[in-house]
Amino acid sequence: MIQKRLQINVDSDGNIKAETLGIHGSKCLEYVSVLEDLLDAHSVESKFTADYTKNESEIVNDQGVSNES
Amino acid sequence: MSLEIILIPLAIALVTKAQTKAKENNPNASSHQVAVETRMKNLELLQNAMRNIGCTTTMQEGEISASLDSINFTFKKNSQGIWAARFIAGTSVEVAEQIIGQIDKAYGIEVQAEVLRKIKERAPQSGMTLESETINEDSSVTLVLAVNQA
Amino acid sequence: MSLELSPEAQARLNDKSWRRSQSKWMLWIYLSASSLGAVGFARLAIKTKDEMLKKYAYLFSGLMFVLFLLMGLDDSTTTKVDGKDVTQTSTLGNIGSALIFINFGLQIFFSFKANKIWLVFRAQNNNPTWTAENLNVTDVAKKVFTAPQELAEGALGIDRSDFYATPETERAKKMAPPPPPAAQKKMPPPPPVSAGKMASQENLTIDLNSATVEMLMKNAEFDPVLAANTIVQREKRGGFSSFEEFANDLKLQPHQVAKLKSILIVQKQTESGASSGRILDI
Repeated sequence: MIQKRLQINVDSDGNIKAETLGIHGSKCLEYVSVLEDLLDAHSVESKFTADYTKNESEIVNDQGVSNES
Repeated sequence: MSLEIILIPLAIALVTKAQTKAKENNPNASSHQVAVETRMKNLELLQNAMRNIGCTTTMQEGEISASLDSINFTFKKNSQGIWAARFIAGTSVEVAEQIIGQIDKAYGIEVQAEVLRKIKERAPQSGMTLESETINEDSSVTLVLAVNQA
Repeated sequence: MSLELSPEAQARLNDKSWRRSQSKWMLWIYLSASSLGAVGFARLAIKTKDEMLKKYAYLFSGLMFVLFLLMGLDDSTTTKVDGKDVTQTSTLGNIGSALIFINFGLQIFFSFKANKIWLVFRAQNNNPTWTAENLNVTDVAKKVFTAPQELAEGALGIDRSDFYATPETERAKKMAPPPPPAAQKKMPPPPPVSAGKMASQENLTIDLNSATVEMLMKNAEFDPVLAANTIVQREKRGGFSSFEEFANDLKLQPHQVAKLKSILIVQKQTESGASSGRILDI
């Protein structure tokens, strides 16, 4: 199973940029409120990145192929 | 990666830095004051920030009276809960903006420290483990949290 | 017309395709080389009852009248000189020719000014039913609703209300309550939300297809622009069929989707029993 991670960058102005790693599809939307609660912050901007369109089975297949090669 | 979010801590009002500007009330009057709007909302962090840059502060009736380099000013919360500064007559707009700029910068550092502290404190309760912490060249800090999977 | 625009009106004015669709009246001027331009201005003046547009309508109607008069009075002659046709234009003819071009130029210039007034009026009065009743033209309304004499009083065993709408049946239709909606699947309660921000808001579900701007703005995610654009898009589509459709149309960002998905619902709009168009005499 792929490790799910959150990468959080806080700059010296107090602005926060967070990314979900290894969390695919619509599951990543659940982490919006998780991050807001964790950071006591409100979201002002967001966008999906490449991994959003992948689902778990595709990732597992990719990993299976790379393990065999 | 699947989602990128930009967040603003609740301690900071949703205004851009450029909106931190000074206004002179009735510049033709002999005793005009300079008022500066800010983005600062948290009292404790504001007091820490002012102390860090060398201000002397006293709290009285919900207002902060402060002094820096012989320039006196007060902070008062406006209707949106944001601290606004007011300088005594005779203070120029440039000086007022410079002082508030210094306080704002120190406030940002306080907010950064506070956010990092909260992440480290709350992560275990939220089912996450701190994997790494990196201080970058631009003074930003990057934390990577692993989500504990059952 | 009030000077303050509602958020819905502002959203319509910001919509380029809406503005384009409402500006088609200007084609009257360009395609007819201004000969029917006065009709376009007059139509706008009648609909809006705006004083400035009335002045434009009078101005161009007057100019067209003068032009036709000059055309009638023009006594230009064509004679043959050395086998070639030579036209001697009269002074009136020359004035008329100049006036045609001046009229065209003026109509183009003032059409842009008039269009601004028209767009603001339409943005604030986006009622799709432009029936005679709405225009308060009582004579036309009476004529539309009057049945022929032979079908009066149930003659020939025919009930005239089967074929002709009468003021009484129309009033009854308007006052009747709308038919009950078809049995709908009961919406499940919104999923439990994480503690903190979401819990601090009232977790009331809002129906996207019936909410007003004020209802939408009770939620912190809706600012006046998003709320107004939601109403505009809903009107364009005749109702949203799903939350995803709404999110795509309004180009919501992921964090907005995450926060709104649990509190916004989409209920199918009930069919209105009353028709909203003109009743035609058959």
